[in-house]
Amino acid sequence: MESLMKEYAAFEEKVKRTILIDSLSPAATEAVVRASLDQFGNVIQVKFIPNYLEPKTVGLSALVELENADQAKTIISEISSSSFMICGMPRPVRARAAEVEMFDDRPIKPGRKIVCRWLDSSDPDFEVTEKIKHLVSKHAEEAKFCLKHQLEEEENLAKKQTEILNAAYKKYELIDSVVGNRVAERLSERYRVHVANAEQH
Amino acid sequence: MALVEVGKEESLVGLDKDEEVEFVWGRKRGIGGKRKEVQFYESFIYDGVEYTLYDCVYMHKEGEHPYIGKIIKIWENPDKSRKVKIQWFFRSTEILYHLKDVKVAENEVFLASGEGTGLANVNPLEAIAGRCNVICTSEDIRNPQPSDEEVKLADYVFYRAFDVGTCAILDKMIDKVGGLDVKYVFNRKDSEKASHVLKFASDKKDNKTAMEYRANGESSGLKPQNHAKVSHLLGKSDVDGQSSLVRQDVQRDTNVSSVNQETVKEVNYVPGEKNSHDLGVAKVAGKSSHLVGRNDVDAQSSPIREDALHGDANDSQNEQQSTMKGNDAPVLVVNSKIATTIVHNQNTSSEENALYTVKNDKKVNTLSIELLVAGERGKPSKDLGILDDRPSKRIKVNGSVTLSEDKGGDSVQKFTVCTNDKEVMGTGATPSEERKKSGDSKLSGGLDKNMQNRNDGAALDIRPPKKAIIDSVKVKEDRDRGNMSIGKLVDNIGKLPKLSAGVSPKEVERMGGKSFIITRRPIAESSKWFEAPPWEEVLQTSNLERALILLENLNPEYTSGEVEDIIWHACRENCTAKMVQRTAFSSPYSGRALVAFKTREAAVRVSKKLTEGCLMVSNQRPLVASFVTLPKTEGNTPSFAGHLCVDKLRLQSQREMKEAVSTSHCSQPNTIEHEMGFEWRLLQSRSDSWWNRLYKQQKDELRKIASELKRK
Repeated sequence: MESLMKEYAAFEEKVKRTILIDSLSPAATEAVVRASLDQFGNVIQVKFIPNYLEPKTVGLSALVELENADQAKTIISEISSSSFMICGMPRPVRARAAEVEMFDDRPIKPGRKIVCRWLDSSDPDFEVTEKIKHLVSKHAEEAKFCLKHQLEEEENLAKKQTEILNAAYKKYELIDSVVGNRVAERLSERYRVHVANAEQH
Repeated sequence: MALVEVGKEESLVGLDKDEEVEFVWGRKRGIGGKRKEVQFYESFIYDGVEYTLYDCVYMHKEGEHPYIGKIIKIWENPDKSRKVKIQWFFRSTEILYHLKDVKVAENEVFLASGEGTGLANVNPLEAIAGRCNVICTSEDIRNPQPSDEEVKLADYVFYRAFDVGTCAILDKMIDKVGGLDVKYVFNRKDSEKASHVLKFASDKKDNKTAMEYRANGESSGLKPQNHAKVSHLLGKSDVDGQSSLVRQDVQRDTNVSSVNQETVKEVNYVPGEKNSHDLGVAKVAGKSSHLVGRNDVDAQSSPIREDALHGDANDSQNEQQSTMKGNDAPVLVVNSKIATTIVHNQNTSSEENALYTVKNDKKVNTLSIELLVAGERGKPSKDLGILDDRPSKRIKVNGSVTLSEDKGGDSVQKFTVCTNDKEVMGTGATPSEERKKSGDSKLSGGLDKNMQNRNDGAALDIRPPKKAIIDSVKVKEDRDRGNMSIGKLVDNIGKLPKLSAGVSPKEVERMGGKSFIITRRPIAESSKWFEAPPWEEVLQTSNLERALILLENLNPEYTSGEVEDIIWHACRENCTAKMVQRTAFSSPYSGRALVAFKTREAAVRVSKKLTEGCLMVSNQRPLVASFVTLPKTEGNTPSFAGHLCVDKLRLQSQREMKEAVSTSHCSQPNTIEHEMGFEWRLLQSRSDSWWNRLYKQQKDELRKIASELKRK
């Protein structure tokens, strides 16, 4: 019994020094995550949380175990305060403290006793439980919808940003080309406008 | 009998129905009270379970955990109200405040000591909810040390006391613990006696394998016959000539008590073992065999129940003769052959636990023997049913039972077990002659023998009270149907692989309305011998088979193993479960689990049960099950919104990605990506906030509905 408690205490310590990184690109591998976080602390282990049920377009999540709880805290504040990007831009990843329920291999909490009971339709509570079941299903739908909504929002934002990016790129390309083929220089000479780039030559 | 069961259930709620619950006083002790009007007792039988002074019991209490206490006084008031005085055990949770940083094992309890409130209380006897197996693990030399086995099987252990006056934890037991003599605090000597017997049995394995056991009734005219080799046992049975006593001991020793329905006498067994090369086997087998006696008449008449039968895988012929010989009453001989299968245990070569149930109906000399041989099979319990038809290996049982009924108690019980044909020839001479004389034609007893696998005899210990009831219900049903298997919840506290017999869905349904505590399911242990296939594989197979179920409304704290246990205990189906790990978008209040079954049929059964019925977990979470299929995974890496690339540079950047080891950075404030990253952060906070709101609202809704539940 004691050993179970010890095991669980050790596990709780592990939870404290672990962080959850989410919104990871599917292209991110363990090596990538490890390398990108190694600058803040000593990464012990990276474990991706498998996503069985949600659409695959949801960003990946990974549990990253660090050397100690302090490092974990530092990383969380570091990542949250800046736009920390892994494997792509500009969508940053998020970090938060890990929770027990995020772990797949969590040990059974000592002392927990689960009591089950079958209710049949004659039970006075049966109707209420039917209601609860219904509500649970409804909640699952709500969550599903919410997630869908979130993915749409993400999609929209990404689309918008792609446009901005492409527009910006076009603009810079144009500028680059006029600078590159000396059109800018010539124009500045003609209009006697001071051009910084041209000046340097 | 169903009525009795119902009565018991109800008595847990309201005590007014106790007339329906079977009740018999045991031995008287003394008389007390001012006018000598109070009768004290030493034991009593309540709802088929015998309780004796200083037994540990569960006391009924609203809520999840019943109180645990030790019976220190039993009496009946002049107004016929039955009382017990209970000295309490404290659970660690009850004295958490005073424990401070004292380390406490999960199943450790503390005996109340000292003086003051909380030490002991007088309770109506009917408040007893069942027996509780509490073992004293104190290293005090006065304490008969329990075996590891016993400790493992114990519901609770204790070695320390809690002083209710000073609120201190006492590491040592002094001579008196709260007024109770310390010898009643420690384990009983009886159990030690029993273990002698067991050891003895195993020691003798290569000796003569046939043993005779005679229990002599008190007033029997026959001389007690002692056999040196079974001296321990005989010594005991002589002393315990009064059969009720015998029974007590047997119960205590073998933990069978919960099965006993009625006034029963049990005589314990002599396990004869042959060809067993492992001493450990013998011991285990001996320990786990029981006999359960049952007597519908009363405590006086002597139904006899004997013993355990050990088979060996190599040679599975066992001959058993049990002879119960009376003074001058009609003789009944039952001669039968039983085919059974000897099943291999996984770690021991072969092990058989036998459980015989003899029922003695009235004084009509019909004797029916129900023989349950429990063996063990490593894997699924489904196919462990009635094994009579199995051709593979057989135990031949020649039971010659001669039973006499006279005034009761005056019978001599003789019992012989042989496990070897040769031995039967040798030692069985007398009995077989007797048998011939008495003539097989007199065979009139309804004899039905059920073979059944049972994992460990100790499975019959009383765990939580309600479970005991379930078990007994089943036992009874079996009897009624005459051939069904006994289903048994096996508590798997220890590491011993245990297995319980297959339970038909019907039996499970019968558990309706009764709570059961989820413990580790047996298969979980035996799987240690096999490399479990990786979850991904199981999942994909199950997905293809369309045998994948999503369970919702679980307590998110549960582990995958616990979910498997729940399914096993509730539906008797094996499965592989995986809690869906929480991510940033998961509900913190409601957990989900993927449950993969081997076959579609099993999944349908479970899903149907959970959908049509209702499985309440921890009294507030009805489980919701639905079939799911996993979304197909395409070969390509799925798209991911938000990682942009200028179209023209895409090719180039992909190449760079492959070469790069680390592609992370903190964006600088003067870049375009920083600005965009900021937009993402905004979206993330918005998303966080809507998830929080959603889940909070859902939690409130659930709580509101749950408040309508009548039984909390």
